[in-house]
Amino acid sequence: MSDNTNVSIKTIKYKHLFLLSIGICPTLLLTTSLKNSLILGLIICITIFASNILTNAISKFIPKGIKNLVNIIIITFVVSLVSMVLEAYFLNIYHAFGIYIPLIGINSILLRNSGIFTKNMSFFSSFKSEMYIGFGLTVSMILIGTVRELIGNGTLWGISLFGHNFTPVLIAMAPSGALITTGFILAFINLLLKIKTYFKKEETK
Amino acid sequence: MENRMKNTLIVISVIIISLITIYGFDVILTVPRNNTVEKINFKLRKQVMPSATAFDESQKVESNGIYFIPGFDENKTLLGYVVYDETSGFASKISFLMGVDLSGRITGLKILDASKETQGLGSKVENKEWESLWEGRDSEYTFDKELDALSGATITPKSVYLGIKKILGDYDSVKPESNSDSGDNQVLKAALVKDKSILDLVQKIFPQAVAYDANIQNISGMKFISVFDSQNKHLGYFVSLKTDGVEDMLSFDMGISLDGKVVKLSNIDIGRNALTYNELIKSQKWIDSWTGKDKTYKFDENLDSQGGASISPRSIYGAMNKALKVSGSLKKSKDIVTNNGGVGTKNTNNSKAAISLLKDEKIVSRIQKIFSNAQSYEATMPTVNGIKIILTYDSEGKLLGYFTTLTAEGVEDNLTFDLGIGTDGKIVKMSAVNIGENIPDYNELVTDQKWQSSWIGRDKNYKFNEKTDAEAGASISPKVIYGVINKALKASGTLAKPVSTMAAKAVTKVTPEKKVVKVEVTPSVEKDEKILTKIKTIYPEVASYSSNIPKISGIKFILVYDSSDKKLGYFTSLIAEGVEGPLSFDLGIGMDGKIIKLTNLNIGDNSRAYNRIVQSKLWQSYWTGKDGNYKFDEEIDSQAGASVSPKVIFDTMMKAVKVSAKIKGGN
Repeated sequence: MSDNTNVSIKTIKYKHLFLLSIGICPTLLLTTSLKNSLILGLIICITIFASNILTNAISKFIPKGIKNLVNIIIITFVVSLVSMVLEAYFLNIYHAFGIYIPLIGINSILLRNSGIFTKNMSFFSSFKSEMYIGFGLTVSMILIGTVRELIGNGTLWGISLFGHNFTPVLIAMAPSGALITTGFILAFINLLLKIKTYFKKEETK
Repeated sequence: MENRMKNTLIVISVIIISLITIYGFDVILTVPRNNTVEKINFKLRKQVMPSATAFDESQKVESNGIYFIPGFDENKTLLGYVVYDETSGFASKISFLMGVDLSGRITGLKILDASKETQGLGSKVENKEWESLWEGRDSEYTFDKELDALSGATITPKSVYLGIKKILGDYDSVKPESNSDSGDNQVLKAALVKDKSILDLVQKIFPQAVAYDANIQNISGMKFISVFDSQNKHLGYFVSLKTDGVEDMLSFDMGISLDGKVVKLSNIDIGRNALTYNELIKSQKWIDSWTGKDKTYKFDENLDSQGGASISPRSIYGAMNKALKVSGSLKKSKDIVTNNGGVGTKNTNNSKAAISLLKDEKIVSRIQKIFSNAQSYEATMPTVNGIKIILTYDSEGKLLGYFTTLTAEGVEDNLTFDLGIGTDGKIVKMSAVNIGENIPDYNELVTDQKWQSSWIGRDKNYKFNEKTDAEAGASISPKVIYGVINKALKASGTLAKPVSTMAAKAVTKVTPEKKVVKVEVTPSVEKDEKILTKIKTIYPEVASYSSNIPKISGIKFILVYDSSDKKLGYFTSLIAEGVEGPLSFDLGIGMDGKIIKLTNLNIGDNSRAYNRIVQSKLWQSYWTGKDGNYKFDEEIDSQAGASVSPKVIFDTMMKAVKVSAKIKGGN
């Protein structure tokens, strides 16, 4: 059992965005810069973290049949709290992300995992696995955000890197540019995976 | 069953607990939320008005739905106002924050949200550099495409400009009364300083300079220093400029005279740029060649640059040109401040001055397009908020309303049009819309007669309706027109009371004179080309005409003369009520009361098919020679199934013929 989950954790941490291509909506719209990606990743991590603790804490009292329903309620509850805290202390971020903060509540990645892991795992291992997912998602978004900001604006974390003569590739900042960027990164990861499996085969031979 | 009940209860209790917690959080977070809002507001306001240390939202002033929030310094003296507004850009609303000081100058601009504009093009208005261009500008400033537009994006910057302009227009009503005084003080205060190190630089350009103003005016990122001589006479402006060279920055000092000309260049520093390529700009001859040039001077590749090295000279030219352009707005605003007192006294003069009525034919004919029975207008045209308003009177000296020619800033060029405003503050008519160099495709609506007539009857409370007043994809022109109309309506509103009393005076004063004129009918001889060509279609031998004949039964006659001053007959433009709309035509009536000719028939909105007969030259020629005794013949004079148009034209003509006989009698 534990072996099985370990494998799934390792693959899933980058699989969700790039290989399963789920939860792509906020990713495409908000990863226009490294900063945005990092902040969104952190918000998602916090949401995952908090909802995980809560679901685990009350899972004993929840009958099997309504577990998913209660999980969804808890996630939306946590998201509401996070958005309220953001509004109170980080108004700029709250305005910049707008509708996409509440939308985290229906992020398919979150929903998917709350169902999978809380079933048969101990508190610690489920927490670990969820953090992996959050971390993996953040890293993937940072990757996309970095590429988009570099190409589309010539900056990184708001700092201009190429001087005045650089002509930004505007499409990278548009949502279509996000799809293209994601596509290229996905292709690159697939290539890496292929090479890896190829070498593994060679070794076993 | 029991299980199901239990599950439902669990879900409901979870929901209730979370809702209560959320409510609790909401209450707890109220204080930090308000603090954050205040902190951010203060930070943003501080950005657009750096000199203020406190802003009081409770003392905000409302004008036209926009709130002006006052900003104060440490001593609680009012420094100016901060305004938040939205303007419609290329693709979305652009929100911005702006600070205005008491003399009406922008202290700072901050674009809050232009993120929905074209990314990387229009959204670049959020750049600090672009925002800082606006510092120091006032309502007199007009959009400069070279300076203010971003490469590849004109509409977004322009719409921001329009938004700013609108606020500055409204700002006039917000400014406290003591405003002009404090404005004057600002100039009088001009603290003269004699810092040696700066004076040394200044004296290279203005040798007679002995002092300069400590209040350095920072406009568009350039610091202008006002320079004075020993008699405290203002010599001009000194400015240090920097511009991009090939390898390094080029810096130089420049003097600008009060009339916007280059006094001298000096202190040119080429930095690390290659000397061989920059010999020219170091040469005295080249430097001297700029003296006396103004902002209209265009760079000359042959004269002003060195063979193979045109970048540095061109770059210097660019910086100079920018400074000269900006200095124009600098000087102007300064003049305004010093003139403030002058304008005030002028106004009082105006109200005391006797009203003299003018009758310039050209202007009257333009006014008559709007006020058809206008006969004269007032010579002293009051200017309110920069809008020149012409008071229009009919033949009895009764105030008909206000006529004004307005200019709105369109996308590519200015849009001009005439507007008539009734004494009740409602629009009488809009005419003579000229779209200038704007793209006709996007301005079809504006030139459309229906659209223009849709404005009739609206007053200053009318709000622009995006759906009915604008065309999809082309809302800028209608919107800017609405903007100036609204401004004019408001301006006329401020005028209404004093003017109506003035008009009453005018009536008592003027009517006797005018009546004398009427009785004698001393025909004035006029030769306006436009009207003459119109008359020529009926009287080819016309040489002059007189429009002095008063209106009789609502018909305006023009008496036509040939070159030997012989009366040829009357000319009149008539309108008959057709089925779908008015039919207009010109008519010539001989001195013997016979119709000479019917021409220029325009069926307007009426159906073409039913009006074929009246449009035919043959039908029009029927009427030549007919007099007031002629009876309309259904069979000959009208078309089968379409007798309305011929009949109404006939009736109108006959009325005119009969009325013309009355003039003759009076003569």
